[in-house]
Amino acid sequence: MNNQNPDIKEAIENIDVPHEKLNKTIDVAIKRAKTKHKKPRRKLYPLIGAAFLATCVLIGSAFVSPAMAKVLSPIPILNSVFEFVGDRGLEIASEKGLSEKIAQTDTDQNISLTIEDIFFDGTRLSISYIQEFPSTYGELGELTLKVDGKEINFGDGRTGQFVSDNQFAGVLDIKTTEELPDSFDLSIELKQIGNVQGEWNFDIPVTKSEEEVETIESNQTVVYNDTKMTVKTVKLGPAGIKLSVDLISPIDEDPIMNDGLAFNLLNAQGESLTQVSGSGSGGDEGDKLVMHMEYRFSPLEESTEFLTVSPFLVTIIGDEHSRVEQPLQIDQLPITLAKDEMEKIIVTDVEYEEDKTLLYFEVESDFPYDDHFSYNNVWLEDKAGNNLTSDSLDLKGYPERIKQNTYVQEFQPINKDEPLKVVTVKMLNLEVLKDLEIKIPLK
Amino acid sequence: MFHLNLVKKAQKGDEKAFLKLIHKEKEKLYRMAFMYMRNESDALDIVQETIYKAYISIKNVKEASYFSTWLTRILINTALDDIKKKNKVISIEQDSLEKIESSQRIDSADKLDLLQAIDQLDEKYKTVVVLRYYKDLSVKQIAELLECPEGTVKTNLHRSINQLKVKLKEECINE
Repeated sequence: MNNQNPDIKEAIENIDVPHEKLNKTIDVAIKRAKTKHKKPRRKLYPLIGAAFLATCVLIGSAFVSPAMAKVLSPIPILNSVFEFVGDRGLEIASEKGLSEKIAQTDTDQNISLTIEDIFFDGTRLSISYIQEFPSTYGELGELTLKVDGKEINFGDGRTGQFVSDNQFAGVLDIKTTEELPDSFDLSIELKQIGNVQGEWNFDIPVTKSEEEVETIESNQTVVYNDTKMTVKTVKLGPAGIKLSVDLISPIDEDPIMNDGLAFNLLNAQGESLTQVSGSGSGGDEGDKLVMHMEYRFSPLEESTEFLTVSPFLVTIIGDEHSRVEQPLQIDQLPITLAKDEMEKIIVTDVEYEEDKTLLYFEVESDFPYDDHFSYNNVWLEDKAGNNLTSDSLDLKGYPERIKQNTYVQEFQPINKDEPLKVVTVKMLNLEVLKDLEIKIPLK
Repeated sequence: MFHLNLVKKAQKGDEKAFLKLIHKEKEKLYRMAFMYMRNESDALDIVQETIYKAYISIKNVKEASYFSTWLTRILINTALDDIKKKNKVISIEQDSLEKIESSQRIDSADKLDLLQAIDQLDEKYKTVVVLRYYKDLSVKQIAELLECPEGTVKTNLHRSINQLKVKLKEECINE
C-alpha cells in the first residue's frame, strides 16, 4: 500500500496554488474574525495617517544599517565627519571634495553644536555635526528646517559615533517631501538636546554640488497583488543612487507593512548594491494609500549597462531561537549551515590573529545579498554562548564581501583551542518577485 | 519548539504568530480544500472559512503540537458541511473547464488520472486518502481526528485504494 503513497502525494502536490489569491483570502479571513472579535486595530503609519505633515518614516533601517554604522578610523582627530560616520556615498563625496566645509558653531546651556560639512547633490542633503557636552550626551531634538525662509516638510535619518567621552560626531540625512532648488539658504533651528531646552540655530548657504547627477526616468509599472508599483526615477550621483518608487494600494493593504515589500537594486552582473536607507512619505488619497518611497544605495563602483529593480518580500518566519549551529572544527572545514533547501552558509576558513578572528564564508542562495550580507547574519559563539561579534571600534561588526558570494567578518580575538560554534538564525524569509523585476538601461 | 511557541503566542492573541502558523499550512489547506470543492473559488472560500474559525477558536487547541491536525479537522468539517449545504452538483461545463485547466497544470497524464480518480471517490474515502497520503497522518491520528474507530479508518483506506485501483485499471498505481 505504501507504494501508492508518493504517487498520491505527488498528484495532490501538483494542484496549482493561486498564491496571491490565497494570501488575500487569509487576510480577509483574519479581518473578518477580528471584526467579530472587536479587538482594537493597530493603526498603520500613525505619522502618515495623520495627514501630509512631516511625513517621513525610516523603514527597516535596523536591517540595512550595518553600512551606516561604519567606522573607518578610530582617531579622534577627524578629517571629515562624513568619512568617519557617513555611508559609502558620503565617504566618496568627501574624498572627492564635493562636500562643503561649514564649521559653524552655536553654544547654549554648555552644549555646543558644530555643523561641520554639508553635502547636497540634488539626490541627497546630508549634514555632519559634532556635538560637545559637559557630562551626559543627549540626542538632538526635533529640528525645524527652513529653505529660503520657508519651513519645509522632511524626515531625517540619523547616525553617529562617539569620538570621545564628551564628543559625538553625527550625520543627519534630510529627506524632503519636495525637490529643493539648486541653491538656497538653509536655516536649522533646534530647541532641545536630550532633556535640555535651549536655542541652537544656524543659517547656511547651500549650493548643489558641481558633480553631475544623472536622472533616468523609468516610469515603468508592475502590479503586485493590488498594489501598483511604479519606478519613477533612478538618480545616479557620486554619493549614491536614489531609487524613487510610488506604491499605490488599497488602504488596508499596505504592501510594506503587510507583506514586507522591499527592493534590491542589481547591476548587470546581478550583484546587489548595498542599500543605505529607505524612507517614504505619503498617505491616504481617497480609497487608496499612496506612498512615495525613496531607497538609497551605494554608488556604482564600476559602470554597468543596466540596473534592475528587484522587488522582494521580507517575512519574519522565526525568532532568535530558530538557530542553526555547528561546532567549529578546523579539521572539518568547510562547515555547512543549511538554513533550508534554498539557502546554505558554508564556512570555508577561520584565521586566528592576535587582535581579531576572521571568519570566511560563502553563501548559496537565490537571494542577491549585498556587500554586507544585509538581512542575514552568521556569528561565532564561545562555549558560554557569548556572541563574539565585536563592538570594538577597531573591528568591523558586519560581513564584508570579498567576491560574488564570499564574505569575511571580523570577530573578537580568541584562543585557537577554545571550542567555538558557528551560528545563524532562520529569522527572515526573503522571496524575490522575479516576475516583477524592472530593467533600467543606463545611457 | 518554535512552532509550539507560536501556537502559545497565537492563543494569547498575537496575530503575527497566528499568521506565521497559517502561512506554513496555507498550501496544504488550499490543496485539501481543492480536493473537496474541485474549483479554485470554492476552495478559497473554504480556506477563508477555516481560517476565520481557527482565529476565533484557537484558544481551544489544548495541545500546541496538535495545531495542524486541529486546523485540518476544521477544514474537512467546513468542506463537508458546505458540500452538504449546497448538495453540490458540478455542471458539465464547469467540470470540463477544470479538466482543461488541470491538463495545463499537470504535466503527466498519469498524475491527472490519479487526481481525478481520488476526486471521484466518496467524501469519506477521499478524506482518509488525503489525510493518510497527503497529510501523512497515521491511522491512529486519522481515527482521532475523524472521531471514529481505527478499524473504520483501515477499512475505508483499504476500500479507497481498491476503488482507486479499479478506476485506474491497475495501471499507474501499481508502479
